[in-house]
Amino acid sequence: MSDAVSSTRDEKRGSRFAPLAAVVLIVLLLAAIPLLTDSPYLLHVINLTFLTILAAVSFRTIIISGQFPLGHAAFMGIGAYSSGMMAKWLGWSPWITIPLGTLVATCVGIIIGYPFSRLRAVYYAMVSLFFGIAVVQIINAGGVWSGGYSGLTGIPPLMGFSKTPYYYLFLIVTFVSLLVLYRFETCRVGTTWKAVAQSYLIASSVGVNEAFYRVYALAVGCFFAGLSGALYAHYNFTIGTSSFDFVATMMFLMYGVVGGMFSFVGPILGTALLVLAPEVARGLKQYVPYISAGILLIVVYGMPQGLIGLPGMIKRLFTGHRKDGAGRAYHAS
Amino acid sequence: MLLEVENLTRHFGGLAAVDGLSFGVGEGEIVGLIGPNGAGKTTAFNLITGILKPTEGRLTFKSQDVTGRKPHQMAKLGVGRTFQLNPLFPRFTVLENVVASCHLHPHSRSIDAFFNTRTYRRNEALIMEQALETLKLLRLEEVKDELASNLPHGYQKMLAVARALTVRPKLLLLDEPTSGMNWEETELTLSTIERMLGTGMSVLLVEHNMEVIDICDRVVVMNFGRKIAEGSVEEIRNNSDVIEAYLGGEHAS
Amino acid sequence: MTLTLTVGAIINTLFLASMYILIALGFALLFSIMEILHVAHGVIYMLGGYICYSLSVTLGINQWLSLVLTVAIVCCFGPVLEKFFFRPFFRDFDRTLLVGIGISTIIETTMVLSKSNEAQSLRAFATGILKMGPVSVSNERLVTFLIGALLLVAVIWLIHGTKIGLQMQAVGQDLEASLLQGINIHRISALACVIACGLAAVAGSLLGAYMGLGPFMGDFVFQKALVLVVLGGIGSIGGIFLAGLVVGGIDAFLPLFISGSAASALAIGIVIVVLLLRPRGFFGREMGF
Repeated sequence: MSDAVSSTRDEKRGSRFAPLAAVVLIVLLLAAIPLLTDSPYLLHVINLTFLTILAAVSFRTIIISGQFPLGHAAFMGIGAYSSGMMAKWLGWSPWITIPLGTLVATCVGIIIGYPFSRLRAVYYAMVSLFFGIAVVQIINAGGVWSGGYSGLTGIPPLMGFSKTPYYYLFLIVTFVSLLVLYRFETCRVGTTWKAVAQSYLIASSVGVNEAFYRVYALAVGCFFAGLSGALYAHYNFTIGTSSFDFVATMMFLMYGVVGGMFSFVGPILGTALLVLAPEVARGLKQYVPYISAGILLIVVYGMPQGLIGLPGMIKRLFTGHRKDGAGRAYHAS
Repeated sequence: MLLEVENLTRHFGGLAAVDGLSFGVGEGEIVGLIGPNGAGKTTAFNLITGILKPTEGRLTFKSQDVTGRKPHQMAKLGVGRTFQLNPLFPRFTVLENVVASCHLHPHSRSIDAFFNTRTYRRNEALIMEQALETLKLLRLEEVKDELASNLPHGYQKMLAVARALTVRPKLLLLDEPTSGMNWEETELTLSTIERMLGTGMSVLLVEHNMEVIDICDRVVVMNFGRKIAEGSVEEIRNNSDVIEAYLGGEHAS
Repeated sequence: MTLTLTVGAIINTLFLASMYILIALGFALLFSIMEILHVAHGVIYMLGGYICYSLSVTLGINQWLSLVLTVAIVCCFGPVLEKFFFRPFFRDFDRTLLVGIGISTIIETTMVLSKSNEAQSLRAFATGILKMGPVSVSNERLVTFLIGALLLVAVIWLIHGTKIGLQMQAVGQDLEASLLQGINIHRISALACVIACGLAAVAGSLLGAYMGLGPFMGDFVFQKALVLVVLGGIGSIGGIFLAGLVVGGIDAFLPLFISGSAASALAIGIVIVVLLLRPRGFFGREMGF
């Protein structure tokens, strides 16, 4: 919410510093993990989690503006493939191609954004979905250059082959990116996005260029999706279109809903839970979809606010205080 | 003339929702736009504010040709409006509704907003001040943290007006502002409108409540998308075409 | 382009169109006519194929009889779908979508775990080739085409020619008015679900024979069905027909000029452009949301 208002809300919530302290603590803990473990596999999983969190949160950023980008994973793919192909075929350093790949994804987002954003919510969702399919098909049709159906291999690594340097890089990049996305959402830009999502008519009547703001949200979302994809390309050295298709976008949606789409932390929580937790019991890996789908169904049927809303629900059981759908308290009448 | 509507026409398929509408609103004037349901009043509003593009005709505002301008451009020029249906941001609180609407005055750039610069902080503080004042003006400050959709109907309408005022309009378009209001709320709205007129604002008012129409300087009557009469409240009341329109066709609620 | 190629492509168009339409019919009945977003359609289709396989190959029952039995079995899912997955979220598209994803994931995972990804396929429903002048068509394709056409006509008759069909349309177009008219929303929805499941079962069995079975065969189905419905327009089965022809035509003719996946990309691109210009599709009504 716009700064003018969030300051009043924080006063109500009490100390503004508790969440900040928690974040610092988590970052420090995460930074300590490579020092505590020998397992490159664990680092690998957390690395993937970082990138997925980035994609899932950027997915939500677009949703805030009232658009349902069912083709979001395709932008990760655009970032990944442009960066990968530039590095592999033109021989440029990944330190250059990754920003470029991100830029390509952002530009594509803006270019299709203008015609697509004019459509109403449901139509936009469909067209975005089809666009995602189209991107996958175009990549598949890329022959030798994109590796076609078998994927693009031999992508130059960003920082060698050990997992640890990537861990710290991804930790920093993800943290900073999340800060950026959080700031967008809480300042006036985010407020305007939420306004446009609720009523583009009212928003335009108070001077908001709602078409521009929707493309704006899309651009920001695609930027971080592209970044996430580009980083992935030079970390995994191999990419395939199966990582960037409709199913992948559905995963972001699932993680977001499970964690709670109404809050910024929701997708983070959802991703962390659904990507990391299965790794704890490795033998259960094949049953993971059951867990994800199961939690998803529980959330949809019983917990509209997602897991984030769990403390609130528990509190509700003990007090008479009801919260509305957006988590704001009002007195139960 | 602040606003000039010339031969405004808008077709939907084969049907002309608004057909050759022409009238004007002067500075400091309050003009009423009345007519039976379906006469095309909301469509006229949508044309004037730029939500719809006219098939024919011209719009002039502050001596500029604004035909075909987009809604946010019209807002920038100083045209504010309320909406009859869904008049608010339902998931925002009352305060947030007004604060979110203060997009233009003062306007903060994205960069300022993102980096929380001094300009931005100053703007936001000013916006907060303005918002609280507006809410106080409309007796809404007590419910400022209530979710807008939880408000009783009359309060919602008042909030819609509060929102529309944030663009510092020279011309305010009110679409049935008192529908669903009780007597007290109607009185409050009326006095608020009169106070706004005092500051030099012009108002174009769509209403079914004849008591509210009474405060208008002039009234334009529409039926089937066309203007069938224009004049003072007295003249309109005695106009046979107008009476025919209301009695013969659909009835005002 | 030679005559043979052209005629071949035309025949291919008809076949592909009938295939896509067959796939889309069940989905269209629910989404296009009644505005129920049935994301799990692909999964039902897949189950249809597998059940038919189990009956005809594993149990050795005559294939056509298996088809009938499969339809009967899968139709039983209909009321279950309606009661547990659609009714709680009627008109809530976000949650219907999510529930559909949830169920699809669970069922697909179950199939993956239990079938261990062996390639399986049904025996063709018809063998032999029909020769028509310079071109020959496999009887299998012919049968698929005929059944597809038959079902299309049947559904159109159902929707536009029967009272039940009109009620379904009413529910999709104006829920409140339907309630006021005394239409039992849940019963109509359940009926639609039953029919949709049956249609999916037929499609799954026929196409499972043609294209082979796999736990994820339903994903392709959902996408194709969605394309047809969106392109054809919400509310119109006739739109599905036209959309099927258009998409079938594109998929039949394009690969003659450019490579396979480029053709797929271009095909989707064309669909996107059409939708940008006319979001409501060929014959669709404006959606209320």
